[in-house]
Amino acid sequence: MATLHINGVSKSFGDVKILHDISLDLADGEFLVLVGPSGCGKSTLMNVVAGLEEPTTGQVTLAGRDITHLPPDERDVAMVFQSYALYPNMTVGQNIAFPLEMRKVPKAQRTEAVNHVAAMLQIDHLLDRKPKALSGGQRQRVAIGRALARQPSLFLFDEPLSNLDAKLRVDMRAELKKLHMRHGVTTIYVTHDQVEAMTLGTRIAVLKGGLIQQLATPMELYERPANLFVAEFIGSPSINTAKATVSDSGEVMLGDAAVGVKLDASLAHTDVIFGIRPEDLRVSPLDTPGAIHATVALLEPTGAESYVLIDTAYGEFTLRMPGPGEFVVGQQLAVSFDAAKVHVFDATTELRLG
Amino acid sequence: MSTTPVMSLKPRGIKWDRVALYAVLLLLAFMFLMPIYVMLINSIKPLAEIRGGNLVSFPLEPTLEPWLQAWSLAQIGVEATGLKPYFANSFLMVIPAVLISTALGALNGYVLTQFKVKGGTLIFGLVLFSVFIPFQIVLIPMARLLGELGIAGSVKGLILVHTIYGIGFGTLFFRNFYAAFPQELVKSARMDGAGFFVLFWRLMLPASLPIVVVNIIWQFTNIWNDFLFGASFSDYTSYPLTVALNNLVSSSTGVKEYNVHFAGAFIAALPTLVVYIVSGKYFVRGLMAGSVKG
Repeated sequence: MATLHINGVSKSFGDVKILHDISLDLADGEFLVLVGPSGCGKSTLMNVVAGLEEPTTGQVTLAGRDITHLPPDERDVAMVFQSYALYPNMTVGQNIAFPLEMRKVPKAQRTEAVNHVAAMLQIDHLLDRKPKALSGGQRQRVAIGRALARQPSLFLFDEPLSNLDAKLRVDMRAELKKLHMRHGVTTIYVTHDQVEAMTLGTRIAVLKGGLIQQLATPMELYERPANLFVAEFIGSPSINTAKATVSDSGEVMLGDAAVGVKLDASLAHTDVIFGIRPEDLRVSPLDTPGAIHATVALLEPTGAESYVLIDTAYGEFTLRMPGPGEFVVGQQLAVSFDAAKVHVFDATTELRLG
Repeated sequence: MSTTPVMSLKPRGIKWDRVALYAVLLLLAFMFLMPIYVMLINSIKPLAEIRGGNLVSFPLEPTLEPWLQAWSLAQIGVEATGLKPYFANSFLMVIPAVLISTALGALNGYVLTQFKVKGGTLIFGLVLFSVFIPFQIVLIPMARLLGELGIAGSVKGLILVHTIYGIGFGTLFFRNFYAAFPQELVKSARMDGAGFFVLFWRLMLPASLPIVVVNIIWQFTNIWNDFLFGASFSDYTSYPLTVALNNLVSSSTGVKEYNVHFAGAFIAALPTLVVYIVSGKYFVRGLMAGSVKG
């Protein structure tokens, strides 16, 4: 059972602390996505699990074995890098066979493993080519093949799709998901792309400044973000936010209007941040009670839907609408929302309220 | 001159800066090629014509006799063997020295960049410093060392001297090349289980062909053309070509056979010339090559 336990792992480079006491547990076969902005420590955490860096404190246990201080090749972990890291002077076949060769696997078995993996990833016609004669997507598949051939207990993917063009990225994302469904190998996947995170992960860990902001399933992150950072990170376009207050009775007030969310009365008079996702805003008739009045500032049609930027009294909001949208810049409209979809965060701590 | 009415942004007429540029280039080319021309032209003239006085004139009766003389018949020291045996000596000295110093330079560069070595920067600094030590300073200590090792005055001794000197530059070239080597390749190989030698032999060295070529060209040229070490540490059985050439010129009694001397000088210069013609472009490419896309 390839369960992974990361306990209290911290990593400092000299005086700079990159990871602060990270703890998480992965069940066998889980697909965990580490997501966060540049510099949040996700790659460092990967390197600690891979064995390319030693943690300053903490332990890593895989399938019951303490691997914290083991060299990378003894950990039964395979990694796919952002730049694929294919050995340039070896053919595709030799690249895939290399880790097996290092383990002194006999040649016949090596060839069989290579052929099996190549057929599965549809790169069997490329086995004699050198990496420089391959396209980005093909190289990506060779890198995955090399990791697969080892049949490891844990897969590590370090932003593997970042170097691919947009269309290929979408195709490869689906392939990776299918691969995981078929093989069920425990996986940690690092990305800064929240769409990849949402579509691939069984659970997502959002990191910022070396701390886990929230560790939850994709839908939970989307529907109940634990703090403002997670709310703004997940979901594209970003959540709309505005400053709000809490009345004496605990009602959240946007300006003079109540938004329909009631908090505990002890939170009266705290400054809060009101959040509503672009897809949760609806255009309604101008006289709807409680609707926010706005002027259309910009239209961004993307084909299947449009993003409409509107100026409101509380700042600029984005509205998401199906179809090409029939608005013109400067038009007046009103938007309303379901109180259940409102997110409220404390303005100082940025933590979720209610 | 007919001119078609075409919109042109360039000024018409003679471009004087171009003319000046070409004039300078032609002059420099002439200055560099003139000595070679004189050498070649006079190496195929019979002696009588040279004595006739005009160094620049074409031979009236060209002959390859001086070349034959220089190669196998001329008097060098006390033996009338021509340059042939010493040509061989030079090769026997250069090839092992180049190969060994390249290998060691590569290994040094590899260790200094891929591993956290305590004092690594200091070691590199010292190795670099060795490059700047003038050869003359080392003569007496080196003579002592060769004597104690029992290889003074032999080709083996020369190989040792040149290898030691070659390590400095080799380390410099390889260290800079490997410092720019993509780290993800190394990480990947480490994760796949590559140890010290496998990483070096199977991954980094095969990918460092450009800098290997640079190093070989550099070492070959320097070692082949060296005179000081050759003159100081060899005896009559192990003279390299440069020393033999000097002996050729200074052991002619009576009449100075300039045509033979010129032929000899050309024979001595030929290998480095060939090396540059064949691989010159790789030299620049290799120095520019920072890393490998993988």
